[in-house]
Amino acid sequence: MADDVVLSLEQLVKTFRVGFQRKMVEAVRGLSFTVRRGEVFGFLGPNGAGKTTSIKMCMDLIRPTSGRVRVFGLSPDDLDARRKIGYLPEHPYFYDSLRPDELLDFFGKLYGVPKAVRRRRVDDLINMVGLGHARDRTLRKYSKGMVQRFGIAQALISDPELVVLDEPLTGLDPIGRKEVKDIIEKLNREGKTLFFSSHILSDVELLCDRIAMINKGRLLYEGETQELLKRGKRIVEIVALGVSSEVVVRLRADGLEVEEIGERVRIHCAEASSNDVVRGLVTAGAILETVGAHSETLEEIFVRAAQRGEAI
Amino acid sequence: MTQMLQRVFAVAGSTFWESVRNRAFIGMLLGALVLIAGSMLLSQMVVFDQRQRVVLDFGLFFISFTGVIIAIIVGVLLLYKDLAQKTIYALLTKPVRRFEFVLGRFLGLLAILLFMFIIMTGAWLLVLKSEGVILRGIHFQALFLVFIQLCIVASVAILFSSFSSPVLSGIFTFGIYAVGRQVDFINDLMTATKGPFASFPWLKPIGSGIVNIFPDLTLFDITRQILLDVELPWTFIASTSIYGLSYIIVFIMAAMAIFNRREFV
Repeated sequence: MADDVVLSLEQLVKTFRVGFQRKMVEAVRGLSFTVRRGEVFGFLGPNGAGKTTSIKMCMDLIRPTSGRVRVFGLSPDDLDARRKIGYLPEHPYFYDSLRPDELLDFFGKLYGVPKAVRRRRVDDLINMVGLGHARDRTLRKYSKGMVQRFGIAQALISDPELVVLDEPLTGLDPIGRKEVKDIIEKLNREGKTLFFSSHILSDVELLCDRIAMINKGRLLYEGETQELLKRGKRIVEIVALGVSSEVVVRLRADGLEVEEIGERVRIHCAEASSNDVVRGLVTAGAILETVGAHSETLEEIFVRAAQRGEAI
Repeated sequence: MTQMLQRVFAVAGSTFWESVRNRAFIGMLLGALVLIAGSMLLSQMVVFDQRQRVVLDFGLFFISFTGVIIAIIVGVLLLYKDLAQKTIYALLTKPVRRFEFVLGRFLGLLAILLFMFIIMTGAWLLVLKSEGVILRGIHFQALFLVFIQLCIVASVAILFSSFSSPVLSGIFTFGIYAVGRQVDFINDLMTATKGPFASFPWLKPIGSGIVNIFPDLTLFDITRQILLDVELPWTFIASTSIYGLSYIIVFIMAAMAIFNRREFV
């Protein structure tokens, strides 16, 4: 089992001093989880949850205040560990006066990839991320989405065992997101381990075998994505017309989530109480437009857990 | 060791190509060439027997001074740009040690300086030839020492840029250059029977601190010897080079140590 662990965070703490008074801010608070070989692991949390700080500690860009990170059983500053990792930073920036093939060749040299292999891999990667048509342009002339795609290519130049992607889907249009998701799935099929952070939970739900959820630097959940989804409640959504304001007030007082959209009212309630809610609405003279049930999505589970601030 | 050198040279190579494609660098180089050509114009304004002296003196000064300016500007911006533009994240997460990265950046900067130095020197030698100056060993000794001086200034720029903003780094580096060019003068003042050190003896520890700590850059300027037709022994060139190299090693090692402790938030 220990051989299966490619990345482990053990009681990781990171404290920064900020502002004029050098006030202490705890960005990561005792974070522990493991990423196993061959899985797609999602690292989730809202903006400012501590995801990027944690990833930077995994990549030795910043050092933990306490706790430790192990990459393939080694310290993250060990070159043998780094040779096995490909990393895409959040909002990636690269030397923009170089062409993608030049920059990939340079990164390949840092990994010690032999020249012949490098040349072939540069071509393959440029085509894989769909930049073949723009390979003669310098990165200065690339759009944000193109830079993001180049970022994925540079993370793969060493054919790494572990690919760490910090917010790879952020800032991309729907087509770009689909392409990146396809690349993640393809890499996983090739046997690579993928560890990526995101706050777009609908994408994570589809892609990840396991996830770690954090909020305010603390771990809320680590485990199988499907297992967490099973724990989600069944939610009934009722859309009705002609609901009086008194009824809306009463429903809210009962603790239901009620949203007024023009002349319509959308109500979310638990499956167990849905019959009573429907009956009450009909009795009050409301016209039911739709009534449907669905399981809580990852996003809904996360929002509920984050609001309570408790582990799931 | 071989792999380490490969990584260092890879960083140096990318530094060089990244910079020489920069429009600002091309602008600075053109400016330097204009100044060297300007020394020819200046020489037209003086009497014939002084013309050779003007192209020698001003040409060497322009090569040295524009070299220093380029070393400071490019040097203080190199590491800063990596931090400000966040290119550092993609670089330092590759299998490259931080000290290798700083060394690679420094060697890349030296390659840039050598590139522009060769172009400027070529232009200067053409000017000398057109003025009928007969080239001697001391001209090449002077050029060699000017280049060593540029390397020292570059290492100071890299040291300051490892922890400071470009503006402050630029001011500090130019300050060290300016003081370094006066070390000889400060030394003379300290031994003089009149002057600030004689009037205020408490200034002497400061003076001797400057003389002992700052690199004596006057050693690298042998324009006077050229003009006086004095031949310098190669042992002087060798010992001065070793003196300069020692400073370079100390500055770069300090930059590596500081950079190694930095966090890239």
